[in-house]
Amino acid sequence: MRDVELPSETFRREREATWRRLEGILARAGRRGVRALEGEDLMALPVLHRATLSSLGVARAISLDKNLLDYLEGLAQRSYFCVYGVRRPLGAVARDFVTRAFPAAVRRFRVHLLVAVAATVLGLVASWALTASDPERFYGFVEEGLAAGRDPSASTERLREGLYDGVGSKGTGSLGFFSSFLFAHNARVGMLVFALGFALGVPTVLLLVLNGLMLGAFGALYGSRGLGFDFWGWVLPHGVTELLAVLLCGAAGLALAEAMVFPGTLTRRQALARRGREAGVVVVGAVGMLFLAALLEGFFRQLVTDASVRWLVALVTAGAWTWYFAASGRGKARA
Amino acid sequence: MRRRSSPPALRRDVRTILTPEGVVLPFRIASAGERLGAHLIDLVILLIGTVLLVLLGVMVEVEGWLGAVWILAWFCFWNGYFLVGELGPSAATWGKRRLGLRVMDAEGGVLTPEAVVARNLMRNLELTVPLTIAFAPEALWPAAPGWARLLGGVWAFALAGLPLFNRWRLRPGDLVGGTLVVRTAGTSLLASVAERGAAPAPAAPATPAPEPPGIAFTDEQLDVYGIYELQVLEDVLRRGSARSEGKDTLEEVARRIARKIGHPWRRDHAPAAEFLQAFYTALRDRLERRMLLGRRKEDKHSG
Repeated sequence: MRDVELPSETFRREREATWRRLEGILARAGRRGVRALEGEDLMALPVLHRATLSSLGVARAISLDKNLLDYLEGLAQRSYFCVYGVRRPLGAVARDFVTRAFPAAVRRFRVHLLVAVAATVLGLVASWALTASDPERFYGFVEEGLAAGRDPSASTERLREGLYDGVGSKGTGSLGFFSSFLFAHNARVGMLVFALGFALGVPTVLLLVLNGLMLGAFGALYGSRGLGFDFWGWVLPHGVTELLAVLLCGAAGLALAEAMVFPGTLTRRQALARRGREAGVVVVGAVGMLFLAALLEGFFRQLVTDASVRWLVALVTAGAWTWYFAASGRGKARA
Repeated sequence: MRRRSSPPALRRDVRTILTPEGVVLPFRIASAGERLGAHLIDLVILLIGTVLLVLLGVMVEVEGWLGAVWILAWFCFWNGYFLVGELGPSAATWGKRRLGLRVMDAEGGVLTPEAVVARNLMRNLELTVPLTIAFAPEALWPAAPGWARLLGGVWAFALAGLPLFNRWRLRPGDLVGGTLVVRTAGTSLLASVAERGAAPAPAAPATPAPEPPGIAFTDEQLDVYGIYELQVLEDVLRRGSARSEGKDTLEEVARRIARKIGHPWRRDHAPAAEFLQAFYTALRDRLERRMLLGRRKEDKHSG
């Protein structure tokens, strides 16, 4: 028995009750976090958190009890996660995403979007010009599997049939199947286009150019047979949405590349993190757009065979997206 | 042996955050092995889910609307499994939770949903691309020349193995989302090893209670050892008090210490545990007082 208690022991004895209380609150919060706590616990949590942090500071200065220091660090970490892990309710997040976050992010990336458009247009114009002058070049731009018989060797009648192939005996169920398959495939491609932006954007630009090459070859083929109006009426109703979504994924990928190559005043890591989060918002929105495009491609295209109606829908979707990205959510603060 | 008293900021596997309250809080970064282990557990869960989905598809004969739902379920499962885990309150998938890890913001802020989404979007690059290149290279780039395929493979595997090449074990997803994976395990508070002291008495004259003569140490004896040895001794005393066969070790340690500092302790004077406890308390008192004056003696070699 000593004459006088160690000062660090006095400190520990006096503060131990608050630490135990915080432990109890954290145990009650458990895995569900702050939402599982009642009123009193909820009011006490931030106060106890700050008290524990201050205890940690004091303990580091006056105590050499390793177990105490480890314990306080662990406790402070756990309460830090509890206090700063608060989440907004899902409904509010979704609403905010659709009305403000997504259009705002797209607006912020408009330069990258222009670059993506330029890459696609470059491919389109190049392959159109080359295929128009020599139809055999078509095979260089489009793989056989994708063409599925719609190439220069097919007759004009067969090409026309392909554009107006109705539902027939297949029924809407198989259209649904077709739609969801298209969506899953396009969404995977879109996400990959974004992720490849990590490789300094080179694969992303390549993929966009390839996309344009394919479109241009098809356009030249159908154009040379006098089916231009019908072809674009077949592609555009869903194509506007789908192409825009792929371009947005490409823009997001280019934003990643820009953060790595031109970080500005931030470190590369910070620039990448900041850009990456905004770009992630764009990609999530693009996946949603691909869902809509798949619905249009699967259902609308098979059920409606009038070229003028198709063109009308294409123009309406183009106008709607333009208005949405240009005007929605302007001037609103973050919810 | 690693110096346990080295400041957290200098250790390789610790990320120190300055909290808004002005306190430096260290977080232990998950090692590459732990992250790999958690990922493997998650992959096993994904595999089981995939097998179940495939069986379901085969049994129910999916086509039409059922097929549409099945494809969507597959898509949501593969892309959503990690999201659901990391957007929840424990900020960890089942694999990570099993190993005691969680995701946090690299700058110490709030972990936003955007960050979680961004970090998971990169999984395509880290998981799908290397697997495709390894098993089905034609799917990505048909008619690729051999050297391009080799180059592509090297690059893909380098990206997938990025955690091995950086200090904080960041994968591309962590870089893009600005996140970090840390350990969550904590220690429980054990009883103090120091001798109980009388609480500071209120200022009132009272007859002092008769004290048994404790083991005394001079200042020179207490100046031999530093903080590191103190904390090793704390460990020894805790382990010694927990197990019965610790008595021999305690005696050895007590003998070594007595010899080193020049203290006339013998086994028959007092039990080793009592001697060590007295020494621990006296040493801690001295080192803490010196620390308060700004003089930390890290170990027996420093001044």
